Formats: sequence, structure tokens, C-alpha cells
Amino acid sequence: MLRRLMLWMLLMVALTPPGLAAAPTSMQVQVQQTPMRESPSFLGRVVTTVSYGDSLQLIQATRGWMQVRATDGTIGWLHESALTPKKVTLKSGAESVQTTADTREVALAGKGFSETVEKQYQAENQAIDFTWLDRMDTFAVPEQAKIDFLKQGGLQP
Amino acid sequence: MIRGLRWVGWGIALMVCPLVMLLSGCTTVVEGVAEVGKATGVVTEQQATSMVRTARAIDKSFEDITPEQEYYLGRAVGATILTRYSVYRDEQLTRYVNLLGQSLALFSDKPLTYKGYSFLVLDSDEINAFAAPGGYIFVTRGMLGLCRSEDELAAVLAHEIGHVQMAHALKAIRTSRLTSAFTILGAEAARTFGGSDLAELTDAFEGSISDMSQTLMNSGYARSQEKEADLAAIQILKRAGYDPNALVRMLQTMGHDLKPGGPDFAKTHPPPEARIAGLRSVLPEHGPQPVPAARKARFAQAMNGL
Repeated sequence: MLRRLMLWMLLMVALTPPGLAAAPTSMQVQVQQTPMRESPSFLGRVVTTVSYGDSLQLIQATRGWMQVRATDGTIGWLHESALTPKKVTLKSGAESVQTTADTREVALAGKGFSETVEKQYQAENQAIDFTWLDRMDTFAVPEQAKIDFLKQGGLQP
Repeated sequence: MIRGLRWVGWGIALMVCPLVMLLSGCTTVVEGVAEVGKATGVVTEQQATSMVRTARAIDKSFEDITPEQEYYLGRAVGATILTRYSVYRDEQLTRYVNLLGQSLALFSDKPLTYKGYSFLVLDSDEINAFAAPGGYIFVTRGMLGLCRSEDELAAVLAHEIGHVQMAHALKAIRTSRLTSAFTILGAEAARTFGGSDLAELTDAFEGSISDMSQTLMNSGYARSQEKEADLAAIQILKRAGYDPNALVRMLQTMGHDLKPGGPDFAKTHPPPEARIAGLRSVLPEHGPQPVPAARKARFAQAMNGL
């Protein structure tokens, strides 16, 4: 009987979702670099630029966009696909490493498949050539050019 | 009785796990359950350790891949595709395909990736297109040749954006690769990893690239994933203002031109007729809408050299 009671207690523990009560208010930037905008639109005026791993405070979210506050106090909007509640990287400095309790998180955020691994992979695979991939990274079309393209084609700007 | 209870304990832990995993991430919960279980004598210490270890192994999935790692995986998959295909060098066409593709990406559920979407034309008569993780998208000259309008080309590119949006390539990586990669990383978290760890990590990387390239170029995605990409494409086309029926027209053309058992799209995709049948319910009934002259003209101009 006692064991049965313990089992139920065990089940209760398992069913209590930790951290679900409070929505995460701290978000990390998960794209290499992206402009933070004055309004929730790709057309919004740029207030600052944020980088991969930057930690931002979530103020509000609406229709795919999130209003956030940067560490310097700047407030602006980012598309939700630029942000994640997960830790994607750690800023250099022992403090942030120490304050991250979960070592697994440290490991996954800091290292993994990286430039070092790519170099090693290329050294072992002579046929692999990253020249065109480097070039593709320069193909980014400016926001305004996309808007003009859409307008010209009679599409949704 | 005690033995029976132990099994009940295991059963509950296993039943609870998937549910809780949705809410929080399974490892911590299983650790908690294992600890309580151990303390109450429901599970032995050995079982508790094993529970935690199993949960840790299961926990490693494509979702643990950070966007930066996805970027490096995508580069290597792209470079692997380019060992089999050469690049079609037409600057005007490349610029047009990027303008169109990147404008479409704005309307996807994932408009932003680590370094953004980019598109490259491959110099091949094959009718084919590939989407590598992170947003590197490749489309053959043969595929472009089938498109009779910007709307149809938009449908092809939107389908590939759909694959990126849903991380289909990453899902092709065998769990064992990630488990091994993350185990190395976990063990080495406290210190910088040395030469042998790097070699092991590179093996896991190489294996992951092989899994993804194999899926993209040889075995193809699951039918359900192709349908997901088709549905994403229709959503993107609708939001952008393109005719979603252009996807159907494109599939009909492919149904006509693809040779069954051919080396290209026919090998890696479900038959076009089957795909069209699965999309009927989400497509508007109306016929093609009038297309502005400017849209027609810029398409014709970009395709001029093909």
C-alpha cells in the first residue's frame, strides 16, 4: 500500500512540468546577425543590429514578431525565427560559464560542428570544396530590393 | 509483488516520459523520477542509473543541433552536392533566382536562418532541386527549363524553402551520430577537446553529412515530408500573392516529363499525380489570376540564356 502511494507521488513529481508556469523572458539570438526594428515588420526602421548568442529580454510577442530589450536598453522588434529560448552560445568569460549550471548546455552551445570540425573534414576529404558555399553566403539580397521586387511583380510587399 | 511493482514503476516512467518530454525535456524529469524511485526502493540504483543513461541517449536529436551547427552541416551537404554537379554560371539568372527565393522566404514560417537563404543553379539537364540545412538551395538548369512562369519557379523554390523550414535534412541524420557527437561534447565540457575527440567529432560530422546527402540525392525524403513541403509551399505562395495552383501545374509538367526510374526527381520524390491528389483540398478553385506584365517580362529576361 505504502509502495503504491509512493508510486503515485512519483507520478505526480513526473507530471509537474518544471518551468512551465512562467514563460521564458530571456531569449537568445539564433542567427548570425540581424537588424532590430522599430516596428514588427521587415520594413521597420532599424534601431540596432544584434548578433548570434546575444541575450535579450522579451517584452511582448505578436503575430510572429517579438518586442525585446537589449542589454544596453535598446528596445525593438525581431522576427520570432531569429530568437530561441535555448542557449545557443556562451559569451566569453568565466562568469557566464560558471553561472550556467547545466554542463550539457555548455557543451552543446560552445562547441560541436564548427569551423574547426569543417577544416578537419575538408583535410580528410580532398574533393570537398567550400568556395561556392562561401560565395553563396554573399548572395544576401538587401531587404529593400526584396520589397521592390515584390511590388514590381504585383505581389504582397 | 515487489518485482511486479518495479515493473509498474518502469511502466509509469516510460509512459510519463513522452508526455513530459513535450513539456520540458525528458532528461531532468527522468533523473528526478529515477532519484525518487531509488529513494523509495521502487527501482534499484542500477536501474536508476540505466534510466538516466537511456534518457540521455534518447534525448539527443536534431533539435539539439544549434543553428550555428546547422549552418556548418548545411555547408558540407552543399559542398557534397557540388562534388556531383557543377555550377551554372549565369550571374543574371543567379541574381534573379536569389531575389525571387529570398523574397519568398520572407513569407515562410522561418524567414531567418543563421546566414539566410541562398540559391544556386546547377548545370545539369536533370530535373532536380535540393535543400541543404540552413537554407542552401540548389536547383538544376533542367528544372528551371520546365518552369513556364515566375509563379511556377516560385512554387519550386517555395517547396525547397519548406524542407529547410521543417529541418527535414537534419531529421535524416541517424540518431546514433548525434548521440556519439554529443557524448563526446558532454564528456569534454569542462576542458577543451583534444585531437582524438576532434577526430571522433569529425567522424560524427562526416556520418551526418553522408546520411543527409544520401537522402537528398539518392533515397529521397518520406512521402509525408514531401507533403509537408508541398503544403508549406502553398502557404508561402498564398501569403506572397503568387498563384498556389502553380505548384500543381509544375507537378503536372513534371509528371509528363519525368521518366519513371530516372536518375533525378523521379527517384527521390513520390509520383507527381499522387502529390497533386494530396493537395486538392487546400487549393483555391479559381483558375490562374491575371499576371502583371512586369512579372512576365522579368521572368522571360532572366530565363533568356537558358
